[in-house]
Amino acid sequence: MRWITLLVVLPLVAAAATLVASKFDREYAKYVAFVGSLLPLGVSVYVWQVPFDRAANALTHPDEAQLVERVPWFEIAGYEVEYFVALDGVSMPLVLLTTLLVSAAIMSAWNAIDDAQASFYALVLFLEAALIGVFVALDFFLFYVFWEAVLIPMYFLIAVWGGPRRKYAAMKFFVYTNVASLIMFIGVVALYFNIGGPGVADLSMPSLTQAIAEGHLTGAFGLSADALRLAAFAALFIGFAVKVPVVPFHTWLPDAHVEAPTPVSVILAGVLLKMGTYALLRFNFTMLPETAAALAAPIALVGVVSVIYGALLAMAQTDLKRIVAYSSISSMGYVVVGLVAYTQYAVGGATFQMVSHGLISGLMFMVVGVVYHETHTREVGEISGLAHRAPLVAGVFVAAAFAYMGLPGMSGFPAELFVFMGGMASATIPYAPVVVAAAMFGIVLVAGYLLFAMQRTLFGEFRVGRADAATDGGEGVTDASLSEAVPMLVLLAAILALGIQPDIAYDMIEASTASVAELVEGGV
Amino acid sequence: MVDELATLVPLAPEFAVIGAALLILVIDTFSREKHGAVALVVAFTGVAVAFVATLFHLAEGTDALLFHDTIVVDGFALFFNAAVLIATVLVLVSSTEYIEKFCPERRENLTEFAVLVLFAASGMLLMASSRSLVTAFIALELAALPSYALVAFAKDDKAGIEGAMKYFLLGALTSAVFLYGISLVYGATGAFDFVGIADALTGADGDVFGLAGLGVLLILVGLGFKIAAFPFHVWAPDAYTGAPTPVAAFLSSASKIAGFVLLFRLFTVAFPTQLDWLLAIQILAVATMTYGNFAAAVQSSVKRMLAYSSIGHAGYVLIALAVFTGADADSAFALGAGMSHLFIYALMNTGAFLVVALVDDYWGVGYTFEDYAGIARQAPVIGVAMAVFMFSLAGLPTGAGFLSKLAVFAGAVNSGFWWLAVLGGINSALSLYYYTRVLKWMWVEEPEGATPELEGKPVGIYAAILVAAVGTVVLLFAFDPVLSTATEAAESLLGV
Repeated sequence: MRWITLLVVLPLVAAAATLVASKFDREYAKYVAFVGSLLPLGVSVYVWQVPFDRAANALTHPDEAQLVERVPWFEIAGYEVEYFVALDGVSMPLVLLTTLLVSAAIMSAWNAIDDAQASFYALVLFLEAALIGVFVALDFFLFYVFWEAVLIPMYFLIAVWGGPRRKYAAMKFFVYTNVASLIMFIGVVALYFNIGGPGVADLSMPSLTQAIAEGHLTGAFGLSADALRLAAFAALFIGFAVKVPVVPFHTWLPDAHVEAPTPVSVILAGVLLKMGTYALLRFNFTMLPETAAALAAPIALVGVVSVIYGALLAMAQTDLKRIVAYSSISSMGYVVVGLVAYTQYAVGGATFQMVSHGLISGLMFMVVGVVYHETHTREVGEISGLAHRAPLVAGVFVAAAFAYMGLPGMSGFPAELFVFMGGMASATIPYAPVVVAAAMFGIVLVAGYLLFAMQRTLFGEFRVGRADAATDGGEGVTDASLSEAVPMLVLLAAILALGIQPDIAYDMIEASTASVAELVEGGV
Repeated sequence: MVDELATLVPLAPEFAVIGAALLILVIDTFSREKHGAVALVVAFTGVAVAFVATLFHLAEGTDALLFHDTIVVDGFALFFNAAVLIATVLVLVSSTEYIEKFCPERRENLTEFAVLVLFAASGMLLMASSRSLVTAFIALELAALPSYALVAFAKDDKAGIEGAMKYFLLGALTSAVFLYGISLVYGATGAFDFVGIADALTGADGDVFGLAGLGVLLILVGLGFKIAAFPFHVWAPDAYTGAPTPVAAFLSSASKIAGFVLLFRLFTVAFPTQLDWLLAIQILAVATMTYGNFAAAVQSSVKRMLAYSSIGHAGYVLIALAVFTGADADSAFALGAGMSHLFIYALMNTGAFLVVALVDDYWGVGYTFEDYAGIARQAPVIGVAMAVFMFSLAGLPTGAGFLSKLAVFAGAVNSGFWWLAVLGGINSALSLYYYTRVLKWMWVEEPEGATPELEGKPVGIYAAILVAAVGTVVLLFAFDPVLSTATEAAESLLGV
């Protein structure tokens, strides 16, 4: 059974079915899309539970990659480009995250999206196929096709269904990330074309990893092999850092997030940002470990700056969505710190954090979406006492905020704990304990701005609108409807499950990330 | 006699096209009523036969020298023939309805239109096969003269006349410059045929090199005009905008491709790199793509935007020649990548121009971006096709333009010119801005005031657009035949 192909194709079939169904009755679109999104979710869960075996890293141990499918596609300059997909402990959790979040996002869109529903759901499903493709592709060209394919539905989702400045935000997102992608492309291609010795016969990522690990990279363009490696590393890092995003490449994110409609924000924060950290892990940290270790200090600095600066930016915001958007930058900073620490726990924790943050930020955006849907404002100062009218929303808000702060029992806790524990023991980061402690300070800031926002909006006298307005303006405010509550509660349940029993996810992550940590001397 | 005729078999595509043109003229002379439809059917058949013959020769691996070695039919020429013929057929299919609607007073002259297109196409095919500077010049003129007339086909349209005038004046001037360049090269080497020039130049001394170098530069000007490279592009936006839109599609696809094939063959075979033309091509590539992109970004007319974007694409393709380092596998790959980009470009660029022909002129919606508001919601098929073309031109994976552009950049990196790839990449990313601007207006924006009425679904134009769109998408998955054929053709050209 070609399970992975099925995973990529099912959302496309669902998208087509959605478009067809809406011809009969436009109300059908949302149900067909939701049921259609359950299929890949079901398949991914089945694959995880049944055929998938907790695997070593597909790049360092290509023989152990799971559910491999390889079909030749075309030949370029003597290199075979293949349709080459597989799963391992890094990609499996992210595929599960994608399928779960897309289903949740589609259900949460039932209330939020009125206009051109069929096209909206079809584009979301198309996006899902591309995202799954990014995580399962092991051929670089194929990976790049999916990587770029993500942009197309995303552009339309923001530009058509977004907020008032949506066109500007969509364009900025588009051009910004595309420049980065092309720089990354050139970096990777430079690596492939300068493998000496036996060379590589195909453009698959495992072949490249092996060839570089065996020291076959030669110098080119008047650069020595080491300098070329450094240049390629820089090109890749810039390419992926924009997607993550880390400071200073983050400016597209708040615009895109604020203008995107809620379900799209959920996918954007939950899955799209993980493309960046996933690719960093796959390319920079697995293929070029020596360079990454040598550059550990500046990279860790970038990570810590992202944590602190992102949190400070979040603090300065009064728009709930902007707060969550900036706090994503902060959370992604932990992933970078974890990856560069090169210890078993830190890399595993960073991968765990990708999943955990995907769930938590997705949940957070849903809460904000419901609040906005009910009150028509996202300004912290214009909402007060929401807990009286919407206790469920308020409860989920509090839970999500606690999860963000990394409270025990929530998935954020093991994620950050692993990163910090692993980070402290890092042999690559100079003064690791100090650096990690600085990153930990970010949690204090998170607690600061989230508690502040929570307290002002949820508690106190019920009021919607400006404080000096004559009426409270919130007569119509009710609690979340069923189609809003279910996805929120499902995500919350997942967050709790991972918090109480991290092994659910960590078990499959462990082996794959441990092989990455072992690439660098002193990795524990 | 029979034996001699048999040697002409490799030229079957050219004969088919010229034969169709002459047949139309004969029919036209002897029929009392003007049958535009008959002319188009004959033209279509001729081009289809030529296309099949081209594919046949490609499959056979034909490699023949004809007419005292002045004409060569090899994989390199045949590959480009296929691209030119595809663009020609798309233009022919869409032109009947276009002419009837856009310039009804010229309906009677549809036969002339078809004949002019066919003669221009035969010139382009011969450009691909030229192996001597004299043949090249004649072929170039054969392609150019009908093109001038085609631009001015709607003779009551002032913009068309103006565009044709500019095109003709500059074209005549650059033809003269080109011819002067040929005479200098001949003076320096005593040879017209490409291989003879190369032989004469190897081991030549400084004086000969100086003379030949000047000649090469002048020849580059002539070809730069043909491919609309900056700064020889000034005619292009006006000619494209003024011309009937299918003609603009023809000029910006087929004519440009023909210019490129001559440029590629001439420079890689005849002129050794010691003449330092590489630097000139590199400057030309960077200037052309940068200028084309920035100029495209500030246009308010969709057609003009496409005109400038086609200049930008000429810049990308020039990269393939700019990284030429001699007869080696790296250069062959880069050249093959450039060729495959031209091939895909023929589909997506022609398709995009035909969408403009449909929306601007046939439906009469208007020519600015704003006028396109809401079109895609009324004609979703056209909206999706345009999205395929625009994203593919911009280098996103909705079509094979994505792969061919990446192949060009990969070729540059492979040959050691990573900085050209970086500049190309940045340009390509910026081009997203103006390509998506069309889609933004078509899909996202609401029209101000009343929604425009879209009257009629012209079968020919729809069919041509759909063929181009489907071809663009399908080649994304079936890219191998294109790239491998192109690379093999480039390898045999360079003798790798």
